[in-house]
Amino acid sequence: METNLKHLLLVLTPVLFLLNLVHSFFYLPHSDRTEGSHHIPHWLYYTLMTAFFGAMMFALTASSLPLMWVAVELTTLVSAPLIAYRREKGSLEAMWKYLLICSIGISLALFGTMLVLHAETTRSVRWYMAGFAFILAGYGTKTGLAPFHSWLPDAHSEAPSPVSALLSGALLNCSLFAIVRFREIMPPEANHFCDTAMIALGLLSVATAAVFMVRQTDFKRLLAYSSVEHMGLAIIFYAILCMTPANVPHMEFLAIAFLVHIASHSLIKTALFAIAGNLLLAFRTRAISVVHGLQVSMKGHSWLWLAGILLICGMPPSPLFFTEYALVMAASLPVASGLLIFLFIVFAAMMKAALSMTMGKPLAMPEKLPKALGAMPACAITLLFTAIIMMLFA
Amino acid sequence: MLTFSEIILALFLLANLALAGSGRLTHAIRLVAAQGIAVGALPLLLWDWQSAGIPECRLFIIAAVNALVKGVAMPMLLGYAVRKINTKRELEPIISFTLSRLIVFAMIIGSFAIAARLHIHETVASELAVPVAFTTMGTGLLLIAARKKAVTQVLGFLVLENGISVFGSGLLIEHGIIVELGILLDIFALAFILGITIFQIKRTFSSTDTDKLNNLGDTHLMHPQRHHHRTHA
Repeated sequence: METNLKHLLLVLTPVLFLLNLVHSFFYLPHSDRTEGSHHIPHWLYYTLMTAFFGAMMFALTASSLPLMWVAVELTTLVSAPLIAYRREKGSLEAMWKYLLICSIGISLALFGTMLVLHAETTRSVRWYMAGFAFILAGYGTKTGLAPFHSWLPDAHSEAPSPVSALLSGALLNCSLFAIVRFREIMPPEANHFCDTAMIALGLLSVATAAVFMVRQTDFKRLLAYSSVEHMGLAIIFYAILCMTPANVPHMEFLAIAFLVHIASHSLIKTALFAIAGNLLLAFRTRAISVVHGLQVSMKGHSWLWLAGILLICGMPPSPLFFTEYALVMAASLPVASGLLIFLFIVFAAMMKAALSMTMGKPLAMPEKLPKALGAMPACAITLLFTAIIMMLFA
Repeated sequence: MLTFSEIILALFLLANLALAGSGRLTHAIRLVAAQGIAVGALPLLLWDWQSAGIPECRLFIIAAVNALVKGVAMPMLLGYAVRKINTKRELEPIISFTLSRLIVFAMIIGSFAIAARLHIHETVASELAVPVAFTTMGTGLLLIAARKKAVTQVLGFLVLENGISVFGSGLLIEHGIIVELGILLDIFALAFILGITIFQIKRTFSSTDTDKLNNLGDTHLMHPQRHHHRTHA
C-alpha cells in the first residue's frame, strides 16, 4: 500500500502544483487590483510556492523516518508565509495559528518517531503503540483530522486560492502518507489498536465536518470542512484496508478505490478552490448569503460550481460515489451507518449552499473577471475524468 | 552515584519550575538559553567515556551546533524581538504563575511515576532522562496554553523541543548528522519566521497578546446573535 500511495502522490503532487502555478499567473495580478497591493512580493510568492512543492516531494521520497519529519516540518515553514500573502489581520491570525498548531503537532510526531525508533531496538509492542498514538496525533494535526483540525478552516479560507488548493489537495495527502508509512511498520500485535484509533479519529473528523458545514456562512470554509471530511474518510478507508486480510477477493478492488478516492478528492477540491477564489474576486466577499443568482450573473462559473459540489458530494458520475460505496460496504455496521448519516448531512449542507448561491435573483452584480481564470477549474475536472477513463480502459 | 549528567538533568527540572513562575520575558529567555546549552552538551555527558572511548567527531559537531543554535542564536533572536516590540513582561497570564508552578510540580511527580512503570532501565543512559524529558515537554505545552504573549508561546515551543531532545539523547537514539542538522534547521527557521510574524502582529494589531487573534473560527455558528461582529474580507 505504501509504495502504491507513494507512486500516486508522486504523480498527483506535480500535476496539482503545475495547475496552481499557472492559475497563480492569472489570479495574483487580478487579486492585487481588487484587494489592494499590500502583499508579499510576487517573486517571493513564486519562490515559496516552488519550495513548498519541493518540500512535499522531499517528504514523499525521504529515505528514513526522521528525515521525513524534517521534510514535513519544512512544508509548514515554507507554506506559512504563503497563507499570509496579503498582510491583513485575518491572514496574519491564520498564519500564526497554522505555524503554532502544526509545529506543536509535528513536534509530537518527532516524539512519536523517537518512540518508534526505540521500539525497533527493544521490540516492545507497548512502545510501538505509544509511538503510533503520538504519530497519529502529530501527523494527524497536519492531515486535518478532528480534533486537531482547528488550523485548517482558518488557513484554507484566508490563503489565496491557489495556495488553499495546494494545501488541501497536496499537503494533506503528504501527511496522510506519513501516517501510512508508520502504520506499515507496526507489529501485528499492535494492529487492532492502530486501526481502531484511526477509525475513531476518522469518524470524529467526518462528524465534526458535518456539524460545522450545516450552518456555514463562508464558502471557502465550507470547502475547508469538506477537506476535513474527506481526510477522515481516507483514514477510515486505510484502516479498513489494514484490517482486511490479504486473501479476501475484493481486497485489490478496495486498495484501488482508496487511491482513486485520494486522487479524485485532490483534483475536485483544486477545481472548487479555484472557483471559490474567482467568486471571491468577483464579489469581494466569502459570505454565502451575498453571492446569489450565479446562473444569471456568472453562467460559466455557476455550472462549474454546481458540478464541482455535486462531484465532491459523490453524486453518481463522480468517482467518489463508487469509492464511498466501496467504503461503506466494507465497513462494519456501526461505522457504516454512522458514515451514511454524516455523509447525508454533508450532502444536504453543501447542496443548500450551492443552490442558494447559484439560483435566484442576483443581489449584487459581480465584477468582470479575466476569461483565463475560469480555465483552471475546468482543466482540473477534465483531468479527473481523463484519468478515470484512462484507468478504466488502459 | 550522582554523576555530572544527573546534576544537569536535575537543574533542568529547576529551570522548568522557574520558567513556569517567571513573568519577565528576558528572564524566561535566559532560562531557555541555559536549557538549550544543556541540551547540546547532554549527549557528550551521557557518553560512556570509560568503556566506549572517545566518541566520533560528528557527536562533537552536533553538540556544538545544538548548543550554539539553541543556547545562543535563538535566544538572541527572541531577545531582539522583545526589545523591538517593547514588551517586558507577561501581565495577565491565563493560568497564574503560582498555579503554573504547582502544575509543573505535579507534572514532575507524575513523570517519575510514569517513567518508573515503563521499565526502561536497561536501554536508557540515565534514569533521570525520561522523567525530565516528560516534565520539560509538559512545561512547554503549559507555557503555550497558559500565556498570552506571542513571545512566551514561542518560548514554550522551544522548551517542548528541548524536552524531545532530552528524550532522544536519554534513550541514545542516533539520527545521524544530516537528520540532526535538519531538525535543528527546521526549529531555527520556525523561530525566525515566528519572530518576523510577531513584528507583523505588533504592527497590525498594535499588541502581541494572542487572545486578540480570535476573529476567525466558527464559534459564531453556535451564537448566531453575535454574527454581525464578523467581517468578511
